[in-house]
Amino acid sequence: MELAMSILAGIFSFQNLFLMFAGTLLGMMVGALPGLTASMAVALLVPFTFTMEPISGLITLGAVYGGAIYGGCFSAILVNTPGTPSSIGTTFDGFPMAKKGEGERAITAATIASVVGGIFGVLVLIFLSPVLAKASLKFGPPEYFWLAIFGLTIIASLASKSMLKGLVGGFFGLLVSTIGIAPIGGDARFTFGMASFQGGIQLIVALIGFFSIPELLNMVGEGNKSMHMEEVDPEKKKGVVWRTTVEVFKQPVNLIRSSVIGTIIGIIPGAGGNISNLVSYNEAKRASKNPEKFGTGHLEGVVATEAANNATIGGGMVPLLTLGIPGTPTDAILLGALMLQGLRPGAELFTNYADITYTFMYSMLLANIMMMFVGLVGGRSLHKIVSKLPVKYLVPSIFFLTILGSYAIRNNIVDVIVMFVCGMIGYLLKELGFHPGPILLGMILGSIAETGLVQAVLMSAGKANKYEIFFTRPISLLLIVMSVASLLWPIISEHLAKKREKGVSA
Amino acid sequence: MKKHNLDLIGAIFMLIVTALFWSQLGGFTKFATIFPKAIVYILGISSVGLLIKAFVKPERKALFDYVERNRVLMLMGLMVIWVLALNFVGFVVTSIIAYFAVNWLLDHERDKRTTKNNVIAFSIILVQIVGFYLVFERVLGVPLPHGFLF
Repeated sequence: MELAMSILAGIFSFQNLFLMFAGTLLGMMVGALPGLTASMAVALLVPFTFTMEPISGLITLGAVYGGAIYGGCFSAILVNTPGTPSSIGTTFDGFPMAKKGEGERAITAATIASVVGGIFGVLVLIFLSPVLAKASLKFGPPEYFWLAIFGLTIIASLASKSMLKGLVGGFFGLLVSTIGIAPIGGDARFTFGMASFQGGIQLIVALIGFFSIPELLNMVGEGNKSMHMEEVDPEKKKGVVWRTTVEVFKQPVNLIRSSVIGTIIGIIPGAGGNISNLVSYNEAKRASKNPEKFGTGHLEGVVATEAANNATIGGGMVPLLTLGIPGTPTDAILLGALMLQGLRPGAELFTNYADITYTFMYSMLLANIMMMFVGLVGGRSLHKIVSKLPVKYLVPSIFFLTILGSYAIRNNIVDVIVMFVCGMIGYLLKELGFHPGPILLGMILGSIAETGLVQAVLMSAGKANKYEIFFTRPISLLLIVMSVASLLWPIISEHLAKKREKGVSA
Repeated sequence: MKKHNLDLIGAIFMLIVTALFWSQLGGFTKFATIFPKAIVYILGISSVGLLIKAFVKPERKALFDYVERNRVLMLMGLMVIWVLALNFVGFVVTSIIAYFAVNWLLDHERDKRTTKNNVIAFSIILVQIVGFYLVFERVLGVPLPHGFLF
C-alpha cells in the first residue's frame, strides 16, 4: 500500500507530469527528424538529468525514448524517410497511404498502434521481468546467428517485385555491413585506403541516404509543386481519427502479435526495434487475408511495425533492469544514467529502490497515453504542414535535415558524404528495381550474423565438428525450423490459394 | 524513350561490387575473413543468377524517365556542392547559399520572382538554418563545421 502511494505521488506530481509531457514532445520531435535517433536524444539529455531527482530524471529519459521511437513514424509516413531505424517498415505502407491522401489515417493508426505496443511492452516489464530475463540469457552466439538468418528470410516480404533482386540487395547490405573493424579479430576491412572507413558505414547514415535522397529526386523529377498527395473528399476526412482508431482495434490479433514480437525481440540483447518492426511486418503480411495489399498503402502494415517498435522499449528494459544487460544502444545509455544516479540494476533495484523502479515503470505507461494525445494533435498539424509546403521549401529543408542528422552522429563530415553517396547508389538501385528494405535489413543483421557465426565457431574450438554447435541447441533448432518455414511460406501459401480457388470453382 | 535491361545493369553493378570486395579479401586474420568471404561468394553467385535472368527473362524499363530530368540533374549538382563546401566554407554560410539556390531552382515561377519574394524566401531560410545552428551548437553542444567563413 505504501509502495502504491509512493508510486502515485511520484507519477502525479506536477513537476514529473510536466517532464513527462516535455520529454514525450521532445522525443517525438527528435524522432521525426531523419538521422536523429532515440539513442542520440537520450544521450544528449542525460547531462540535463544529473541535477534532477533520480525519479524525475528517469521519467524524462523514458518519455524521450518512447517519444523518439514513435516520432520516427512521422517522417516515414510523410516523406518516406524513417526518422529512426525502428520505422523502416512503416515507410512500406505509410508513405503510399500518404500519397493516396490517407496520411492522417496512417498517422492515427501508427499512434494508436504505438501506444498499444508501448503499453504492452511496459506491462510485460512490470509483471514478467524476472522470468523473461533468465530466458534471454539462453541466447548464445549460435542462437544469434540463426536469429539473423531468420531475419534475412523477411526479404521475401520486403522484395516488392523480384525475389532475386531482394536477395541480391540483402547480400549487398550484408557485405556493406562488413566494412570497418571486424567484430572478432579487429582487422580493418574493406577501407579501400580510407581511414575514415575504419569505423564502418553507420546504419543511420546509410538509412537516410537510401530512403530520403531518392525520394527527394523523385519529387523534383515528377515536377510537382507540392508533395504529391491525392485530394480526399472533405466528407471522408470527418471523424478520421475515431474511425481509424476503431479500425486499428478491429485488428486485435495483428496488434497483439506485433506487440509480442516487439517485446520478445526487445528482450533479446543486441536485437531491438530495428529488427522487430521488420519481423512483425513480415508476420503481419504472412498472416493477412490480403497479403497482396501490403506495400500499396495497407493499414495492417503500419499497425504491425509501429506496435512492434514501441513494444521493444519495454522488452529491452527487462534485461536492463533485472540483469544490467542493455538490449539496445539506447538501453546502454539508460544504464549509464541509472548508474550515475547511484542505482545498480539487479535485485536491489526491485527491493531497496522499488519505489523509484516501479514509479519509473508505471510512468512509462502514463507517458504512452500522453503520447497518444500529443501525437494525434501534433501528427495532424505536421501532416497539414508537409502536404501544403511547396516543394521548393520541402526539398531543401529535408536535405538540410539529412545533412544535419548524418553529421551529428559522429561530428564527422565523412558521414555526410557517405550519406550522399548512399543516396546516389540508392537512387540508381531503386531505378533498377532494387528495394532499399532488403539492403538495410542486410546492414542491420550483418554484424549480428557475423558475431554469432564467428563466436560460435570459436566456442567449438577443439571439437571434431566445429559447426555441430549450430544444430544441437534447442533454441537454435527452433529458429532453424522458423527460418525454413518462413522461406517455404510463399510456396505453401500459393499452393493453399490454388487449392482454395479450385474448391470455389468446383 | 529507350527501354533498358534493368537486370543486366543491376547484375553488372553487383558484379563490380563483388569484384571490388573480393580484391580486398586477402590479408585479414582467419576469423575476420570467414563471414565476408562467404558473403562475397554468395553475392557473386546471386549476381550471376541475375545476369542469367537478364538474358532469359529481362525486366525492361526506361531509366530516369522524368518530366523534369534537367532539374533533377541540376539539383544533384547543387547537392554535391552543398555537401563538399560544408567543411571549407562553413555550415551556416554554405547552407544558406545552397538552400537559397535549391529554392530558386525548384521555383516553377522563378521568372516572376520579385525582390520582395526573394527577401521573404531568404528570411525563411535564414531563420530555419540559424535556428537549427543555435539549437545544435549552443543548446545541445554539437559542434558544426565552421570552415573559413561560418
